[in-house]
Amino acid sequence: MVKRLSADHVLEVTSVSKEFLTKNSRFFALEEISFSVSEGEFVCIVGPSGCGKSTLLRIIAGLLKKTNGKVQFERKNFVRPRTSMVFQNQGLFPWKTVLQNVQFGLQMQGVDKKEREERSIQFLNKIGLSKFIHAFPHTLSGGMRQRVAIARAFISNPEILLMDEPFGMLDAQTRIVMQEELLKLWQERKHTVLYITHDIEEAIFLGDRVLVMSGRPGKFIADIKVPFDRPRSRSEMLKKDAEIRNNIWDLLKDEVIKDLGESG
Amino acid sequence: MKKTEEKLSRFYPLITFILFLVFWEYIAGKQMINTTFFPAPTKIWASFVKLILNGDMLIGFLATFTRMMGGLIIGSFIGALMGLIMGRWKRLNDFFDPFIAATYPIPKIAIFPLLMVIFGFGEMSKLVAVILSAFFPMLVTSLAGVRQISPTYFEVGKNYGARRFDVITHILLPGSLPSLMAGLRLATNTAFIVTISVEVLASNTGLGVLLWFGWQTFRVSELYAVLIVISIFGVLVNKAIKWLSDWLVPWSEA
Repeated sequence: MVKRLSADHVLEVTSVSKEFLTKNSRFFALEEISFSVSEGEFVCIVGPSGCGKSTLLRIIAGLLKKTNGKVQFERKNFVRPRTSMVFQNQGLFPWKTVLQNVQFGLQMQGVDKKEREERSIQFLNKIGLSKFIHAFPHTLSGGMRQRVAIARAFISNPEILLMDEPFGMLDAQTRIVMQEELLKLWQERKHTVLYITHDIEEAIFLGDRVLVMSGRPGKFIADIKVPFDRPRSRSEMLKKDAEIRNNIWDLLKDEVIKDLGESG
Repeated sequence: MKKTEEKLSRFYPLITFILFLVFWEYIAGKQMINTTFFPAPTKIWASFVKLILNGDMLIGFLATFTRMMGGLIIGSFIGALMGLIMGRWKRLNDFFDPFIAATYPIPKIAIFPLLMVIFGFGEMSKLVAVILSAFFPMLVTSLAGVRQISPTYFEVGKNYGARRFDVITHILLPGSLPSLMAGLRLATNTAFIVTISVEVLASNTGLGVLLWFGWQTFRVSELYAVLIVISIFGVLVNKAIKWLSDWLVPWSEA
């Protein structure tokens, strides 16, 4: 009965819609969303704020029910969790230390204490957080906290990593450093990543593909392949990405202006 | 230089206190105040020592302590449990909320006569009064505590595959623990007030009785001596809870 997904797809989303009911109105946050993600691919979804990107990610993560459509995963290994999500903020439990936070996913999978601690410490060493293993999140900077959140997601080794604007709350300089760190980690392990952002430049720098979304109801209006080789360097990107950046901006500009007109 | 100054400043309140006592002693000795109501500090001290030595103070204290602790432990446990459950399962909250809203504001001492009618003049009615006084603040604060847990934490739990029991132990309990501790502090203080009050009203053991006895026999210096013990106990209990909170909630930013 289980339909095999085509080729090397890890995730197929078919005509997914989401309708929200409020007290005296109903509206579609997402309409007929279809796309697929291949194994090892880094896919970015970019769109104006309030276009339903986060809603889509939550539906894929199983945190929200969809109104219509299908979300299918190709699973070769049933020990691996389907998704692990990195949230924009408040993703770390303030009552757990860095180490306890990082190993949370493994703990829920039932990995025994010794092994999950070893793996977590190893990972924390690698990303330069070895000094903060027993620190509580509130003592860390915003960038460090997101590094811990990313470590937690990577280490639970999901079929797809979901990231909901993980660097959205960070300052511009920290964001650049974090993007490069994320790419390094991704290159090492070749995880499949679905990454949400409203920052076009970030989407191009990180992604193999950029899906452009329009606002209310959220629809995909373009699927752009990023033509740059990896590993990418920021300075090279800055020279070459102007054209593609302008393309995406042309697609989104009207949406943003429309949104400003509606709310303002 | 600054450090020693800071250390010294801790003793300033003590100096004020001693000066106050010396002043009190002086005007009491000169009969400038009515020593029936404001006996000299040395006289209070003598009564204090007397009550300690004849064992009355210890017996009274132990009676009050067990009464209060019994009521506090039972009341705050039930209150916390109900608060956590009601905070998490909305339906239950809908059922109970009106009752709580209606009964919470009643001063518990006001229903003590009713409790005596129901539970008799023995220990039970007093214990129930203390239980109720601890129950309500604990219920209300733990309910608020569960509600203030960010929904993101529950999403994280669900996303990483937490089962219902994991959600309780990893998110619900630690997430509401700071509020539970605040609730415990409130519950302790109201339980203490109600314990002393029911003792004054209708008991033959406890610090409240000793206090009232001092008044009825016009040995006002004994009344003061009991007040000293009550206030020291109150301060120590609050310190103990503060210490317990710091130990249990090391992630608190405050």
